Amino acid sequence: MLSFTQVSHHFGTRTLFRELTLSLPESRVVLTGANGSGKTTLLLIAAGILPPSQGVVSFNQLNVADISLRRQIGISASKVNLPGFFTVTDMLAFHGRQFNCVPDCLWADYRWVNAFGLTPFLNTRVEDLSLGNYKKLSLILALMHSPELLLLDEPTNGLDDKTRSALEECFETYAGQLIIASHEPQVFASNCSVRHLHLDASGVHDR
Amino acid sequence: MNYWQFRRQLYQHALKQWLESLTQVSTGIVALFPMALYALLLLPLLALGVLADKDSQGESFFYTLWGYLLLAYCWIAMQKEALQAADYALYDRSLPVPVWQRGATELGLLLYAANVFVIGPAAVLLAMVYGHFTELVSGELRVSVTQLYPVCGLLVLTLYYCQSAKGKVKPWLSLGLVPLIAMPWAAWLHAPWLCLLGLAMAILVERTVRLPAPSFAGLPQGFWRLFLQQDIIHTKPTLLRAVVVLLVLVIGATFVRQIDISAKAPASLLLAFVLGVVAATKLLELQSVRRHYHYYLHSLPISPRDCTVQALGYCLVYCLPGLLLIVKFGLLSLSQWGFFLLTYAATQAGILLRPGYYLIFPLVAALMYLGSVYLVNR
Repeated sequence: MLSFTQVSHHFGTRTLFRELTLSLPESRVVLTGANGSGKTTLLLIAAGILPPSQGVVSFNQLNVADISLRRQIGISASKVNLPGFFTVTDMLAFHGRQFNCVPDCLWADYRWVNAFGLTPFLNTRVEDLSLGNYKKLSLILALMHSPELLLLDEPTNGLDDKTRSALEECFETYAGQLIIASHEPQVFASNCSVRHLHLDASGVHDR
Repeated sequence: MNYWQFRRQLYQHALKQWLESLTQVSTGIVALFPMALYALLLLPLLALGVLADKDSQGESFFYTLWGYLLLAYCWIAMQKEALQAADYALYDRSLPVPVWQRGATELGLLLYAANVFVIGPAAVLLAMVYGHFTELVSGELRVSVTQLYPVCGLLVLTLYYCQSAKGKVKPWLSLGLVPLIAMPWAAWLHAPWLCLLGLAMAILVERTVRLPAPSFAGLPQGFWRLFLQQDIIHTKPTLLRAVVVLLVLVIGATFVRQIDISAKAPASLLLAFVLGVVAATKLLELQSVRRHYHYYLHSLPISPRDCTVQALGYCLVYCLPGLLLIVKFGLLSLSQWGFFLLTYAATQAGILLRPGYYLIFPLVAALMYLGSVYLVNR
């Protein structure tokens, strides 16, 4: 379960969250909100990669800032800049090694690479990938180590129909907690036990 | 706005962006030489005095020519993308500009970018032709050729390296291996023409023998791979660092060998200090990479402390070729090597503890070292 306790966050003089206390026991959560409302920031804070100005975020009673929790969390967000000078293969190999999850097969035969249709781009540099292919790579990196908490920022942006279908299939079968920030509230169309949260200037509200 | 103005604006815009990124990436070098860019412009002018003189000693001509051409090549190589308007190449190619106009604009931009490196020898050549005009027209060609060939050779070579810096052929032999291998025999080079001939031969070879493309197979994995691949793909900061080290060594070799023996030790200490800071500031680059991929690296199961340890280790290994080069130049004694290591360690401590004021650390360390040497000798 992901929980926020008295979390506040400011960018300069602008306050994004003020003493936010929130528990998310649901396995599927969708965050909606206008541009700049703080959806991505909330995900970065939840992943433990952006320390909040105040407060604590924990996952299964452990502070997300704890390094040991990184293996349990996967994040895909446009703000998480990937090393552009790596080829896709280098990037996957590097990431797999860091999380001890290098598959036994070739990258071309790897489950997610195949499902997302990234095989033709394995030798392409990350900085040369199109928006959609960059998103696919980012999603694969988030999924690779089978995290218990998956945080996805606009996961369907720029994806083709085939990849969208593969992603929806993934959402349906994914065993851990899945939190998605999206402008598309129907991202979990076939799943009824979804909690919808809306972010605006006054805070986070159930919808 | 005509095509020339358009390309000049693109060049200046790209150069501005590059200088900004350079300040961020290679802060060490930029911070170390706040006035270096102005001094850099004076260097070619000073070098011209040696290079235009037919009676120059072979050794000083060798080192000065190497430094001058290396600097000219790197000067243009670093501006390559700006000169070629690389960011806007597709749009530029879509413009209906005649081939001759494009060629003339590119040549104009090259001369504009190379400025003092080409204009310097060209002006000296013109002045010398003017001075030897009577000999030239009276038919004493041999005398004139003897007087003019060093500066003519310099001008031709500078133009060649400026042009080739925009292309794909790297001067790995003529400005790399050949001068390094020829260093022990530099004192035996009795005339400038030997240097010029040697360079011309090396250019011919490097234009025919191509270097193999770098292969990433077999490179170390893990965090070092991240740093290493960044260095291999984005070569500019490494190039800049290598050039600064080579220039300091080339200029230092000329300087230290020619000064009085009593002044040699302080001069070598200064060299050791500069080289120590330049080598250690590689860590700034690595910290900058870590900042750039901050969120991603934070999402990995590795603590910032471990990451710092890896960066320090990588930095040390990265500097090894530079250290070998310093050994080859043989400018530092054992105690000066100790001072070099002290400067290196103090600079890195400064970068980790007070990145904004890191230069204070090696300065304080240097003062303490000099103080202790003074007390011991008293």
